[in-house]
Amino acid sequence: MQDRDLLEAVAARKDRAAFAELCRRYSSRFVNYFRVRSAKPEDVEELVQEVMLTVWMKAESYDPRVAAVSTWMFTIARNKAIDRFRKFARPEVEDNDPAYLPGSALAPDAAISLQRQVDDLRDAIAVLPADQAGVIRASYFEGRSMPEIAEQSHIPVGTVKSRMRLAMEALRRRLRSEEDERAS
Amino acid sequence: MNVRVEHHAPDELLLEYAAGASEQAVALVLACHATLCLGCRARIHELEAVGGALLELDPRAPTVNDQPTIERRVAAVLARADALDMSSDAPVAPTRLATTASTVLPAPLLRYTGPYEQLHWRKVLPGVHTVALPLRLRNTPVRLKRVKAGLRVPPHRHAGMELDLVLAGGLRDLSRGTQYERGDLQLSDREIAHELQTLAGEDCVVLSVNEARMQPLGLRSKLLHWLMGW
Repeated sequence: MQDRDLLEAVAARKDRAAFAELCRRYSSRFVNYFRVRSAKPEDVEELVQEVMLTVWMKAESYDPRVAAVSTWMFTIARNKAIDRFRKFARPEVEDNDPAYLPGSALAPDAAISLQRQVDDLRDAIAVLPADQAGVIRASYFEGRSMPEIAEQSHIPVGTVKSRMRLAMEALRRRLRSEEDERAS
Repeated sequence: MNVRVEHHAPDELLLEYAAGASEQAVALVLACHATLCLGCRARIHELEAVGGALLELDPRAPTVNDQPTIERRVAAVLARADALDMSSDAPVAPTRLATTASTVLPAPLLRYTGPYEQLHWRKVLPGVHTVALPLRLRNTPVRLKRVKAGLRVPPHRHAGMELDLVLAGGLRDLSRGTQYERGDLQLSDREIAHELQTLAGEDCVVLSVNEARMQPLGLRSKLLHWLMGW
C-alpha cells in the first residue's frame, strides 16, 4: 500500500492498522530527525509521539493535491521542532484569511506529480556533492539559519549561501529534465 | 490594490522558511508575503518537498529489532488519542482571530497585533506613525509603519538586512528606481543606501523587519533620525 492509501484510511475510518503501518514507515525517520537536536532519548521519543499523534488527529486535513505524504509529515515534524527548540509558533499562511490571495484551482492529477517530484528530489539529493548536501541537511534537519551553519562549520556566510544556491540549482535542473523526459 | 506582486522573497529566505530555520520575525514577514503572493507560496510548497525527500532518504529502514519499540510507540500514541477523545467530546476549536473589518493585515500578523482598527499608533514625526510589535530581530524591534502618502524618507542605509512588506499604499525607491505596492517585498542590505518616497493617494503601511537599526546619511537625515528616537 502507498503511504497515501494508508493516510486516507486513517482519515476516512480511523483505521488503526493503517496507522500502525505509517508509524512503522515513518517513526524511525522522525527519531533521526529529532535526535540531531536533542540528546535525550526520552525527549526524542516524546516528540516522535507528538508528531504521530498529530498525524492521527489531523489526517482529515491532508490534501494530496498540495503535498506528498512525506512532505506533509515533514511539515508536522518541522513545526513541532520550531515550537520546542526555537520556542515560537511558526507564522503560517492561513487559507481562511480574508486577506489571502486565492490561487488557481488545483489539478486533480496534482497528487501523482507531487509524489514524482519528491521521488526526483530524493534521487537528486542523493547525488549532490557532500558540501552542498551538508548545508541542505543542516538547514532542514538541524533547523540552522545560514549564519548559524557558517559559524558551526567555520566557513563564511557567503560560502554557505553559494553552496545552498548551487544545490537548489541542481535540484531545479533535475526536476526540469525529469519533467521534460516525461513530457516527450 | 494590486494583485500581481512584483517584488518577491529571495530563494534562500524561502528555503530557510520551508526548512524551519528562519528567525521568528523573518518567518512572520514571509508568511504575510506568501499570503499575498501566489508565486512565493508555490515555491515554499516546492521547498517543503525537499524536506519530504530528505525524510524518505533516511538510510536506516526499521529492522526486526525495532519492531517492539515501534509497537510500543503505536500503542502509546493510540492510548493518548483515546484519552483525548474521552476528555473532550467536541474537538478543540483552533484559536480564533478577533474579527476585523479591515483586510490590511494578513492573519499571521494579526496574531501579533490584534485588529488594524485598534492599533495604538505612536506619532514619531509629522506624517510618520509606528507600532512596535512584541518581537525583535537581533536587537531591533519589528515595527508596523504608517507613512503619509507622498512623504520622502531621507537617505539612509542599514547595518544589516532590511525587509519591508508593503500592506497598503505604495513606496518608491528613488535611488534604485523601483516601486513597491501591496504584497511587494522591499529587500535591502548593508551595501544599499537609499532614499524612499511613499506614493500619492493612500497612506503607506509597511511591516518592517530589520537586522540592525537605520543609519541616517546626511545632516537632515541624522537630525530626523535623532528626533524619531531611533
